[in-house]
Amino acid sequence: MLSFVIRRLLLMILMMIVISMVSFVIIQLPPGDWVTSYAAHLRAISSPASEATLEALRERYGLGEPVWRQYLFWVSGFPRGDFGIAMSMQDTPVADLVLPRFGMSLLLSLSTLVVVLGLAIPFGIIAAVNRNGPIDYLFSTVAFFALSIPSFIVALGILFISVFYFGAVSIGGLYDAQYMGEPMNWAKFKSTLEHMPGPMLAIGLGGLAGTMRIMRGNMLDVLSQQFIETARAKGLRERVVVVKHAARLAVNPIISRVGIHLPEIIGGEVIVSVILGLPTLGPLFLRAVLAQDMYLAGTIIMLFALILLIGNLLADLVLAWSDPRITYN
Amino acid sequence: MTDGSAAATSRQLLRVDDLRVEFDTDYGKVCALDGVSLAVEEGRTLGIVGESGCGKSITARSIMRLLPQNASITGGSIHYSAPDTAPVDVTALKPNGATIRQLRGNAFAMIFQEPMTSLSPVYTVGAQIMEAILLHTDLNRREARERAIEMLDRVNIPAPEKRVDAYPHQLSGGMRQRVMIAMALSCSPRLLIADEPTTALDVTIEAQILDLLQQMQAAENASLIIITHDLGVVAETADHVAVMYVGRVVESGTVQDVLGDPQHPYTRALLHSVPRIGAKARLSPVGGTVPSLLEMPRGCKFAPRCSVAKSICHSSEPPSFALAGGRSVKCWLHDQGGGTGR
Repeated sequence: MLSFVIRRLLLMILMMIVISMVSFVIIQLPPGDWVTSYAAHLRAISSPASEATLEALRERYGLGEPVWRQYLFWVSGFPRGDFGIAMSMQDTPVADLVLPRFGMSLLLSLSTLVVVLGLAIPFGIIAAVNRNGPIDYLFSTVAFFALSIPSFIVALGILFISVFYFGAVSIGGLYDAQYMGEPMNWAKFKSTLEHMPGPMLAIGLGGLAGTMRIMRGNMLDVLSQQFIETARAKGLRERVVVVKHAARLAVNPIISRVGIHLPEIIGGEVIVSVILGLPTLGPLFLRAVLAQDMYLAGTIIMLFALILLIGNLLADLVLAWSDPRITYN
Repeated sequence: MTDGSAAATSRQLLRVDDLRVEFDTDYGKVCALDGVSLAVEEGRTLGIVGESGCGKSITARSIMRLLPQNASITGGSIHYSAPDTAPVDVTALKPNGATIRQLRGNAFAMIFQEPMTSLSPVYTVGAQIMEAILLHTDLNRREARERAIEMLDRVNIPAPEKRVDAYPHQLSGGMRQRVMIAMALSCSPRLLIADEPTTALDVTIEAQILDLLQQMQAAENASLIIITHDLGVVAETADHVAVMYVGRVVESGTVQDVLGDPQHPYTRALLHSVPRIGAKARLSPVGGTVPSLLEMPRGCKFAPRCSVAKSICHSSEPPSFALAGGRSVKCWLHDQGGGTGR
């Protein structure tokens, strides 16, 4: 098992190197560079810069160099914790921009994941046990709508309701305005928790419905297996049969699905955060891509990829622990 | 109707009378068991034989009250009377109530056909055996574990103190069936029901498992119902036999009587379809097919496949005629005699 984990970690480093190359190249693919988009921005606010100034900027950031040299320049800073500078953000170091938002993203994504699993699994069990009964149909109908509504519509709906029904003054954000710019402390954290249910609903609703449907299907599968009858034949209570024997096995495919589910949550987080103005990686990423700020965008992509790889590894390990039939070597 | 008292040398532990089970299907109500009557004597073995779909397993599950959700018992009774407890009519109990759960795994235990899937893949065999022991006895976890190891040893599993922590997928099919037997017998049941316990196993393993079942039954003085489609298994293990056909018991009696001198044309046909070493004659399969439960013939359900059917056989269903020696036959050919035998 240990050798499996070490092998996977080594493989992960290799993957990250490949991902860094591919993402850097892809960001560079659109015509032009940051200076082009900056010049366009200046023109738009009717103070166009001279060709000489733009050329000087290109020179300064090394944008005229071949892509591979820019890439090497970027990655050579990684060991020192230097992920380049964000040209579109007054040359702020990328690490300083990304770190606090990364924490928020992680907090939001992981809480959403936990709540989604915590609700979807029991709902799936209840639906399966009441198969083709009124509760099952109710759950299925609600899940059908939840799956069909895109997350950005849910986010807009939340904005609408909070403004028009609850009279919210400031919309968006993940904590009260007074904490803006403050470093993380207990009061700010509490305020953050209070603000999370809305975004979590928008990000997690689709996944909740999907996971519930899968759990229901798994449960129906497992409940028809012979060992369930064995458990009943022992004289166990139906509740014990359902939870200890059926759900314990039906949950395994959900665990392995967490690895697939994670990108959905990260992707949903980007869209929802842009709409709700959340201080997470999402909006920063969108801005970086639009401005062709390649160091910033590349670093964020690498972080997303890292979460994904770690999430998948953890899912595999939990699955091995949960299902004794699975061994890695 | 069935009269098993004539041959009774020991007392009856379980008596099924005129049991009727219906299934709610998309095509309407379907009668899976129609007037099934059986009796199991204390410490004896009853074999139930018949083709697949004849209601053998439904009968067993009715006794355990483990019928599927769309099935219901719509008539008859199942009386269980152990010497030291008050008699119970199992059909009158709530399907998942405390009383039947107290009987299941404790007084009644069951072994299933598929050893590969009868055990949960995520718990050790020890944990699964202990579950029943902890539920039905006062033993604590350590004592229950010791009992589990002792049971594994008694069903001849080598190195039981190690195997107790094995997962089912680490054991062979024969081993798993031994674990099932150990689990079923862990609370010393009065009645053990084995539903095709050897169908999924190799012939060599089959003999071992049947021996083991009989050994354990004798040691515990339990009654055994063995459900099978294999007349050889019945001949080897059972004292009494009930032959079933589409939800009815068509013939019952002692194994010597029924297999040695079959009276129902269906029993005869079944016996003729069994290969015999040294026999020159070609095997004769039972002609025709089992009728669908949705399109039952009006009279005797076997009449369309029967070589000696008379006109009455096609118009009305025969009752069970009692014969000498506690036998009964559900066939019009025994009408003139009316229970006096031949």
